[in-house]
Parts: sequence; C-alpha cells; structure tokens
Amino acid sequence: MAKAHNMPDHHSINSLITALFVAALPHFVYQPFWVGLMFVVMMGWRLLHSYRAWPLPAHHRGLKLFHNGLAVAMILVLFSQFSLTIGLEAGAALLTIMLAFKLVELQSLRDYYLSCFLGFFLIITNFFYSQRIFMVLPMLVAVILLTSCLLSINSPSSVQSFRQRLSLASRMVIQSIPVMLLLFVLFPRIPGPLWGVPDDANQTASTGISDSLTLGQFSQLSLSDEIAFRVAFAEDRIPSSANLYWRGPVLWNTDGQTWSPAGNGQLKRFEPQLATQGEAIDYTMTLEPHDEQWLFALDMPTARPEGFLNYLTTDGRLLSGKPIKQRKQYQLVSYTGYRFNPDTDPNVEQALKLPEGFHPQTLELANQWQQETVNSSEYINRVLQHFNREAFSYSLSPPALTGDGVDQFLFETREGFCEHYAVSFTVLMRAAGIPARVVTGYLGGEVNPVDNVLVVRQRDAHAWVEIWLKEQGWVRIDPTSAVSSERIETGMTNLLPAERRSPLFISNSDALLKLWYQMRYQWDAFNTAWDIWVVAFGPEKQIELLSMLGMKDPDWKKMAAVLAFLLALTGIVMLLLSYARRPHPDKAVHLYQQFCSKLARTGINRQTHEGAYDFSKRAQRFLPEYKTQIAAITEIYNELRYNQADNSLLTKLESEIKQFRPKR
Amino acid sequence: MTRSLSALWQRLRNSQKQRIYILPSRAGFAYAGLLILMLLGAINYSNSLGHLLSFLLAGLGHVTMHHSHRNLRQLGLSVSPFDPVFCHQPARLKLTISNQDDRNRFQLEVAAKENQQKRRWTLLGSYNPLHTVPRIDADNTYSCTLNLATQRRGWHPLSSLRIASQYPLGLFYSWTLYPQTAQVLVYPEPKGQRPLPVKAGGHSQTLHHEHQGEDDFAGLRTYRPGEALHRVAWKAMARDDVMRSKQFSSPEGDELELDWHDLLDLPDDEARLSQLCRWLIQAEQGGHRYSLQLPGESIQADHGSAHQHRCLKALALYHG
Repeated sequence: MAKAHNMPDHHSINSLITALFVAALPHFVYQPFWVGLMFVVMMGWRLLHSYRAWPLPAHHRGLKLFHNGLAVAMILVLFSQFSLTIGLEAGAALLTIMLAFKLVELQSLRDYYLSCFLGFFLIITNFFYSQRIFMVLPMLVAVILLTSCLLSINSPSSVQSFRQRLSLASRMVIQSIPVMLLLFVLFPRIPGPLWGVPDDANQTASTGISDSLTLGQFSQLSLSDEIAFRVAFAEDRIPSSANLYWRGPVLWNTDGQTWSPAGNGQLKRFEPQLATQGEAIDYTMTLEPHDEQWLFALDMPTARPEGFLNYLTTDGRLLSGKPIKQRKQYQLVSYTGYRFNPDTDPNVEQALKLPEGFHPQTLELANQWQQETVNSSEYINRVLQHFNREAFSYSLSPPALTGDGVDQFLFETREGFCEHYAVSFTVLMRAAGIPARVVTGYLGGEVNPVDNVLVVRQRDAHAWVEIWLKEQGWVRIDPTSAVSSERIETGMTNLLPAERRSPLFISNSDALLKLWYQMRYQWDAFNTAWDIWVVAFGPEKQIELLSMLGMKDPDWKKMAAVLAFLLALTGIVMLLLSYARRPHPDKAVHLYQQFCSKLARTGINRQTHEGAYDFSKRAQRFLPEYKTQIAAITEIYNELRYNQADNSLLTKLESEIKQFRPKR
Repeated sequence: MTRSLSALWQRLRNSQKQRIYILPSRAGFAYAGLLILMLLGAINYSNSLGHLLSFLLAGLGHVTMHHSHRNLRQLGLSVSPFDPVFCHQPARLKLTISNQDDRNRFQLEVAAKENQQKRRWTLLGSYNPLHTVPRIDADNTYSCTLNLATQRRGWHPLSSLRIASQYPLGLFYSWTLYPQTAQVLVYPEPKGQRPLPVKAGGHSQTLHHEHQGEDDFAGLRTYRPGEALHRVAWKAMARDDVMRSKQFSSPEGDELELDWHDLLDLPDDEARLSQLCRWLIQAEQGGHRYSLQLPGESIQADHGSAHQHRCLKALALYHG
C-alpha cells in the first residue's frame, strides 16, 4: 500500500540495530568471540553510515565485493569450527552473523521485516542456552524493541517519536500477556523431540556425581553451588538432617584405585526384601538434568515412581529408562527406618572382592584387628574408633594421593573427606570378610523457609558405606561421621569458607547477614517456582495443573475446546475494553458530558456544531419546566471553561448536575 | 458505572454500522510462518521459554489486530461538493476526516474506487491510492484535498472511498469503505484549432484574429482552468504569484452562434465537442453573447458564467 516510503529511514535502522544488539547480547557470552566481534563491526559500519555517511556495499562495487567475500569467509570459518554438523550452537552462530551482514546491506522494507523476524528468532535461540530467570528481562526488552522497530516502518518518525513508539510497543506487549498465559497453560503440549535432537541440545551438566569414584575426584564437586535436585515433602514434614541420605549409584567393583558399579548381569536377579519401620515419607523430587540414567531417592524408596520408564535394581538403585536430559519430576515414598534383604542376599560374594596385590598395609591392619576382636560388630566399632581417635581430620582440600590411595590415606596423610573414609572403610570391611559396598549420592540439603523446599546442591555430594550383616541386612554406616559429625548434622554450608556463604563486606554485621540470607531464600524460592512451574512445564505438568484446576482427565480435545472458548472470550473482552473512553482531562467537560447524556435520554441530542449556549437555548425550549436549571448549569460551565477555573464553582457544577433529573 | 457502560455500548453499536475488514498482509503471513517455526523448535527441544516467546508473539499478533481495528473505527468522513472540471484535469475534492476516539490515528491511506472496471477479480487493486494521512490526533479533524484523475466527460461519480492502513505493525491490512453519493461533472477537454465563428446569421463566417473588438483590453481576473495560456498575465504573476488572465472586451451586441453542424468535417464527436468547448471559453472570455446548437438541443444566445456552465454541461452530457 503506502508506497510513499519504501525505504526504512535512519531512525528505523538505528532502532533495529539497538534491538538486535540486545537480542544478541547473550550470544556474545556463549559463542566464540569472533562472532560477537563481527556482529559489532557490522553494526558499527551501518551506524557510521547513519551518522557519518560512510558508504555502504550498495554504493560501491569494491565494498560490495568485500562485504560478500567477508560473509562467505565467515561461513567457511563457521563450518571449520563446528565441523559441518549444523547443531543448535552452529545454527545460532550462523544466524547472528548473517543478521549482522544483512543489516549492512539492508535497503528495502521487505529486508527490514525479514530482519525483525529473524531478530525474534535470535531471541528464541538464547533460550536454548539458558532458561534461567535472568534471561527473561533482557529478552522481554528485546521483544519490545523489535516491536517498536516494526512500528517505526509503519508510521513516519516525524509523527511518532522513539519514546512514543517504545511506550506503544510496551503497551502492546503487555496487552499480549493474557493470550500468552492462556496458550502457555492450555495449548496442548506435544512431547518432544519431533526430529533428532543433536547432542548439544541440552546443556549437559558438567558437574554432578559420576558413577565411578577415584580418590581425589570429589574435591572439585563439593564446592559447586549448582542445584542437583529439589525436594518438596508432603505436608512439609521434613526428616531430620541426619536421615537425609539421598541414594545414588552403588559401587561394588574396584581395581585398587577406581570404584565402579556392578556390570551388566554381574548381580543375580532376585526379588529384594524390604521391611520398613517408622513413618512413610511422601515427597516429590525435581531432578536437574545430569545426562545420566540414575535417579536419586531418599534412603530407602519402597516403590518405583510412576509416569515414566524406570527400574529399581536389586541393590536399591533407581534407574531411569533414558538419560535425564531435562528437568525431571517424580514422586516417591521412602522409609528412613528399614531392613534391606535381612535374610539372604545372593550377591554378598560380590561385596567381598578385593584386587590382588593392593593395599598391603591396610590388609595387614585388618588382619591384626580381626584377631583382636571377637565378632563383626566389635570389629566395626574398632575401625570407627580408629578414625575417631587417631589424628584423622576432615578436609575439603586434602593432599594429593600418589601411590596406593587407601594405604597412603590411612597411614600417611590422614586427611580427607567422605570418599576417602568410605573407600578405606569398605576395604577394611571386605578384608575382614564383611560384605561392604560404597554408596554415592547426596547428604542433607538446605531447607528454604520461604517455600519449605529442600534444595540439594552439588556441594552436598557424599559417599557412605553399606555392610551386610546377618539378620540386619544392608546397614548404612557413614565413616565420615566418626571424623566430622558436623558434616552429617549441620550439612555442608558451615564447612565452606566464609566468603562462599556471603559477600565479604557484609559478613561483619549480623543484621545485614540475616537480611542477606532472607533475600537469598526468597530468591531461591522464586527460582524454584520458576524452574518447576515454568521451565519444567511440559505435557505431564500440564495435565497435573489442569487436573488441579478441576478439569477431569485432560486430553488435547478438552484443552483445545477450553482454549478456543477462553481465547474468544479474551478477544471479546479486549474489544469491549478498547471502546472504553478515558474521562476527559478537564473535570468540567467531563461533568458537562454527563449533563448532555442526561438530556440525550430525553431525546435532546447536542449536535457537534452546537455550542453550549445554543444547546441550552434549544433544551430550554423543549423542556421549559427545567429552564432555570439548564441555564444555571450552562452558565457555570461557560464560566469554568472560558473565564476562571475555580474549585468551588466546580463542586457547584457537580451538585447541580447531580440534582438535574429531566423527565419528559 | 452503568452510565459509562451504556455509553460504551452505544459506541459499540455505532461503530458496528461501519464494517472494517482485516486480512493478514504479506508480512503478516511471514510472521505466522515464523511463529510456527519457533513453536516447532520449542516443541522439539522441549523448551519452555521458547513456548512462552512463541505464545507471546502470537498474543502480539492478536493485539495488533485489535489496534489495527481501533485505528480505523470511529472515523467520520465528509466530502465537500465538487466544482466541475475539464477532462484530464484533476477533480479536486475536499475531504475531512474526524477522529471520534480518544486515541491518535496514524498512517491512513485514502483511496478512491477506480471507475474503469478493469480487473474485477482483484479485490484491493481496483482502488486508487490518493493520499496518506500521517496522523490525526484524538478528537480532532484532518482535512486534505484529493485530486482525482478524470478520463471522460460526463458525470463522474465518486462511487466509494476506502480508508486503509497497515498500522501499527504492518502485519495486518485493514480497510473500511465509505460509499459516496457525490459526483463531479466533467466537461470535455477544450481542444481544437478552429477560430471562433464570426456572427449569427444564415451563414457563418470565421472571426479573424485581427478583429478589433478582441484587442480591447478590459482588465484582469483570476485564472480559471481551461483558459488559454497566452492570456495569462505573466508579468502580474511574477509580482504576487497569483495567476490571472487578461480579459478583452468586444463590441456590444456581437452575437456568436456556436454550431455542431459547422464541425461535421472533424473526425469524431469528441473532437467536435472539444472544439465547441474551446469556442465557448473563448467566446465567454471575449465578452460575446453566444448560442449553442447541438443535435437535439439548442441553447439561446446569452453570456455570463451561468450560461457558460449550462452550455458546457450540455456538451459534457451530450449523447450522440
């Protein structure tokens, strides 16, 4: 249609540059530096054209050659860097670069629309890197900026300033939130993926416990603040912190240095026996993706979670059918008091194996203690006493172990954390003929008082031991508690250096520190809600929410029907609201309009060309019995409008109009 | 509360009378495609914020539709009467658009329906854009002059005006039609080289340029479209930028008979009408009394602008 301005002007171009820059900001962090550099250089070129009239590729043959050549070179570099597999990351980099190059040669309105739309696409690529809450605000700003860009090419800059466009764009984006929420909740979710998802699609947790354990590996992990999982207990009944052992991989095998879980078919299949005592603990786990199959559960779960493929193995591990690539939620029931396989376990033989020729000193010590004690329980106590009484200490940064790890730890360094104690304890048990295995997982966690959700972080990673005793079954023993009861009872936070807990400058004041913790708890609770209700909102969560809201057996047909109904309703409400007029800024006019509408109901309509005086004359002619009233109101109104704006006069007008009830 | 609600209802009722059409523009279809792509990506990667953004943009599309609608409704249109024009001169019409809402309007394109129905199947193409209104403030009016091209003599009805807009985001093309009753009379184009016939009487003689009466300068008057350019007082115009034409007087009682049948040797009716038209103008400027003879119609000799209009109208509406 409007062929009047077929070329976007400088104002439009500059706002597009601003919008794309904001949309591309996260990419500067996530992508190779040269991508960001190219982006800034190209934007700078276009800006220099706007402000300094530098030539563009279209103006000069050489420049065009240079521009196109550089674009081709960039694509080649991209391919060499990402080795021809167009994954998500390469795609995002390509999009960023191409947008930057497009902007320099942007000439037509069509190109402008295209760039805006690609800008929206650029925003969505950011979410594939991170869906954290802090991403939302800058991307919302980018959406508003891009919207104002679209506004700028549909109305000349002379009639609408940048600020007016920005405010209209913000209003429009805010107005689109109701529809967004409806669609988000009710649009029938389709479980992905629709096509092959490349491996880099989900940021795989670089931290997280692994399924093998080599002495010295955990020290890195125990300092990470990354969240491993969150637990919401039914009715907020949180077990005591000494019972919060979160079971993960169970390690059976060792080659003398590394411990690993039982291989395929190594353990005999049988129906595990579990006798529980005490209260059942009902809870919901929200597991962060760690790209592994194991699921964590409070020691000891009684049944498998429902809703997805998973297994409960004979050694009490929960395994998912597929690696956990997205945040996973499941419900479990556990008992902290239990007896696991008390009568018999066909796999105890596997829990006695020690590699030939390793840990000679340890074996000798075990032999010596075994002769000094009469039975297993005395032997176990002897070992725990050894850890407790000798100069063993708990340390997050123990000296490196170079030779035979267990021997070196027990006889030389005597400094370590959970895994050192767990591994050496297991070796000492097996050497004395007591079946033992290492269990890894997490211990404790931090309860957020705001929402009573227990947050378990990577730094809470822990390792402990299970030994098998006749009639008692597998018994959990945590040798670390013999050294540092603090670790068990109060959790990891207190063992961290002070500067890890709060910024240094406030650690001196108790009040500030308290405030800091409160704010952090609020923020954490908010993040938890965000992660569970927004980021993890998928097909299952949708069904859960809709059932909670009272929809019976939600399926896509019902959702679509309700969605269509509510969308239509929203549309109608918005249309009605758009007919509402703001009251006139002048109170007198506003009151006079009421007066006019009162007269209109008796059939006397004020014509657009009619002044207040003429109208009053006409009205008086039609309604002679209200003559004085009409004249008085008109006089006050004219006085207010054309002579003096007086507050007492205004109240007089208001009362006069209130009393005016014309009838025909 | 009830009063404001009933006022709202009244506005809603009133605006229902004026139908507004909305269709996605080409950019709008591209936008829809983008949304589908984004949603597919979000589904594939099970990305919640991706869903959220796609839905936000879908909501934005919906809101844009409302704004589009709002930009066109509650507009009042009034068209002032036309002055007759000569063919191939633009018919000028004064258009006043009033904004009866408390929001500013932007970027309204005014188009008139083309009278030649060339391609009937193109819904949008048969309108000819005339003017773009950049902005009308809340509760305000905007006036402009539209120039309509004229191709034929006769009544030229302005069948319908269309106000269209892609505002605010260019995703929707919305328009509304205002049927018009106004029509403009288009005189034939003054054209032809024949000199004025001299005198009423049994046989006509041509009036020569040397004729005395023609050269008596009688004064200046504002230039009217259709007058010969050599009559324009260029020197006077250089002084104050007002276009005037020189008037000459002829001796009293000089009566001209402008007759269709004198022009039978011209190739067609239109050429005859054009020549007659030119004569009429020259005769009126010359201050002559003149009569007009057309097949089936004759107008008695007279002078003055009313008489001239009557004669020109007869030419404009002549049916062979």
